[in-house]
Amino acid sequence: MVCCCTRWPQRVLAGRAASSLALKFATSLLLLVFAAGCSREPIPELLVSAAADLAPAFEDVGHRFQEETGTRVRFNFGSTGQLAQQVQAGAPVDVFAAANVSYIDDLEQRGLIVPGTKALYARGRLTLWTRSDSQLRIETMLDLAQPAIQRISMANPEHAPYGVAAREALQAVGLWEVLRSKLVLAENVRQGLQYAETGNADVGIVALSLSVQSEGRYVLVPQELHKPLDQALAVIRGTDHEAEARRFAAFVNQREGRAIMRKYGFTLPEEE
Amino acid sequence: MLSLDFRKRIGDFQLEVSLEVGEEVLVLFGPSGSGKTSILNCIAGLVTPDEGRISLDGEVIFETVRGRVLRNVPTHRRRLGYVFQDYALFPHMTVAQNMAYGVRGQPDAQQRVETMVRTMRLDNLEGRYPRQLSGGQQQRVAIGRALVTRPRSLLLDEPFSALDTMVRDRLQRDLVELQESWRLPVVYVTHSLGDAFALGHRIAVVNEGHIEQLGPKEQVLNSPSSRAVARFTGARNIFEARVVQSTPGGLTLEWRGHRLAAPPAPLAVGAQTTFCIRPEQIMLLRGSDHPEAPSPASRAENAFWGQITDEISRGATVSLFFRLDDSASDGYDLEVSLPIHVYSRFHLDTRKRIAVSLKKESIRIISEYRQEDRH
Amino acid sequence: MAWHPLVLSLQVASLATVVVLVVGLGLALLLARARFPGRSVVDALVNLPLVLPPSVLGFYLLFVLGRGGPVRDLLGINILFTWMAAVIASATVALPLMVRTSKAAIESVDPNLEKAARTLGVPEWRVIKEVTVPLASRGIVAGLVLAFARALGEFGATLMVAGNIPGRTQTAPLAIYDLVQSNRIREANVLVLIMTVVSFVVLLGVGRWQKTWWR
Repeated sequence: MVCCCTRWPQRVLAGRAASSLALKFATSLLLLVFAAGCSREPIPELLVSAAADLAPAFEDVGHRFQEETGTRVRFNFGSTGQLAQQVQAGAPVDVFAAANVSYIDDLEQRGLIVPGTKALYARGRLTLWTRSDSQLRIETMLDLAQPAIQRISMANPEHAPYGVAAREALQAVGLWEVLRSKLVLAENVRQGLQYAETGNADVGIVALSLSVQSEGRYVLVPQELHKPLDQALAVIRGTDHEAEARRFAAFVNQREGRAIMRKYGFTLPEEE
Repeated sequence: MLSLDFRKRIGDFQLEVSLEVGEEVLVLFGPSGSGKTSILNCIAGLVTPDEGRISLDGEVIFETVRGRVLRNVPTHRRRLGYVFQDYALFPHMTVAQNMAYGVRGQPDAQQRVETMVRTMRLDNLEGRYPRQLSGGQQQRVAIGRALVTRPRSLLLDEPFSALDTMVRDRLQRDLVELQESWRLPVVYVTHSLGDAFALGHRIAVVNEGHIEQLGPKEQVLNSPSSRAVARFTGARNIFEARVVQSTPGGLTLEWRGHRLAAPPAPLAVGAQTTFCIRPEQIMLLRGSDHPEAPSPASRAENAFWGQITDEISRGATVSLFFRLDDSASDGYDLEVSLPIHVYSRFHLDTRKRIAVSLKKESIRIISEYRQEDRH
Repeated sequence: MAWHPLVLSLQVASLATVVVLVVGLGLALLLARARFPGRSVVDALVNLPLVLPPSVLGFYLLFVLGRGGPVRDLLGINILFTWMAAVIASATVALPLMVRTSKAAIESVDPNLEKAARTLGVPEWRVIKEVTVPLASRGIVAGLVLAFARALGEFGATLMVAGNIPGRTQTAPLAIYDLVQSNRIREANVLVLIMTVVSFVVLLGVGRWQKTWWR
């Protein structure tokens, strides 16, 4: 296109130059930002989707695994329900560690896991957690009925397995209806602990694995009060790294892996 | 040559236009809301008529056949110039850029723009932005911008309505000169009679979407063909009367109990008709401020005695409101307009009796608008 | 402390803004100026991400981008858990903001100016490019800034389709959430502060630049 603006007044030309300069600046800034993020990944990698409460434990396991095998493990922590949805939608996950075995069973039914790789990695335990500086004395479930307790946090039973277990335990001791108005339902069990940690709740019904790493006091809730919180993992079908994935899954339940899991409060029935 | 023949339903009324514009300024004159701007928009292609045919310099730019649009050249290919009432200058472009916008990319664009800048007396303003210009300057840019593209016709929508008298007069003269040198069909929309008269060769009076009268400006002014035209052109004395006598020499009308001599018209005795007379064509009879003083000459034509009920000064003229003796009406009967120098010769006050004369030739018989009478 | 979430967020938000510019400007022009059947439906659809909770949006995006959806089946690529999914999630929530603001700006351009351009022999695409858009530019840029800010803070939908993979798809908002969840408040605060400063600088810069843009 022939440009005939050779003799436009100076001011117009200056304005054009200024705006094109600004455009160039913006573009180079953008490129810089992009260049900064580019990196190459030569080492083999696994992607493991895991329930949020497994974070510290699995990160530890992941490091040990990399030390031993050289395979790097990347984690995608989130709420089990969401993670399961992602797997169903075909997200490129290699191993999925759910907070409840039911999710694994579901995926198995849909044919989305590699047969034979489903394995129990922990049986979840509930605890009643209070801050170390709390005046409350909590020994048993019935202690939750103390009038001094205004708010009790727990995971939402609608979509969190630990929430379901908490509800079952409360129902088992006949306190579910009574204490219902005092319950603060958190999005997940981690948040439930947070409410209690920050004083927004007086007591938290949280996972043992979280209590173990916290700085508060806790007591175990008897296992008989709720259905077992079986937590299982599996290798996802369609993974590009099936061999490494199997190795990881096995590693979690082998000697070293089990030591780490125990340390973080994830126990198997035989380890009680 | 711009040839128009189209119809369009707009809101409450039907737009109906059928006329031709040659190398002249045709004024579309009428009150606000009469559809004048819509007519312009149809010509420009900004609005599509329901049916009809528009052609410019032999090229058909719009045509329908049996309700189907056969041809509808889009606005940007019609090669018309349009000057908007609010100038519509691009605020983000300078004067020079505005004027060059229609010819961007053409080899002689710069040349054309420079010439037009000079023609429109905009020298040294090329680098300014529209908001830095006066109204008159902005309008000159708008006109120049339209003309730079060498349009085949120029359309203007009340372009000078927001300008003061002096600027407006100057621009009107400019426009006339431009039209004469460019020899374009120009369609000029206005609701101002003064504008219409200053500019137009012919006037088309638009009323509710249709052309009530089309003709040379003097004819429209002096021989309104309908009440509406009479009203619009300021013939404020419009009355009903009955024909009592009809000869080749003239009519005799019965009006408000009085007899009036009027010019001849093909009307039968007993027919009801409408007539009008312009305020400036009614004379105050000299000496009539002295009672019982018949003028030496033959009795004045159509003379009536009465009283002034009110007067309004309009600067160079005075409007007097005259009530006939034994008038049945509450207010006034006639509006009279006198130049100030004539007025000052009389000694008038509201109690004095005075006589007025309605010259026979000044009385206009209005033939009501009839469907067949389309121009 | 890793810079990655921050850099990733800036990358994702920038790219999402570019996507929003292209798609959003087109939609804004269409909705502002064209009359077509179903126009109000399109308008409502564009505004939908504004009222839907991000997790719901994430769910829909998961369906669209994942197994059984058009992207996977027709294009054969799996973009779940990649930065591209993050860009799409951010762009989706940011789009209505851009479209609404731009549409208002375009509508406020005096139609007479567009008409004048047409009478001067200028074809429609040039009218849009040289008259409508420049005159609406203030509003369009405002819309883009809003879009960028929204994209930068996107969380719920991103979490769903891009995952929360540190070092790969964990954007700053996700990182902050993670840090708060694991009670690493100090680190979280640092990230929050940096994000705030960056957003502020961007807004300031754009505001200044707008002042020098035509006139």
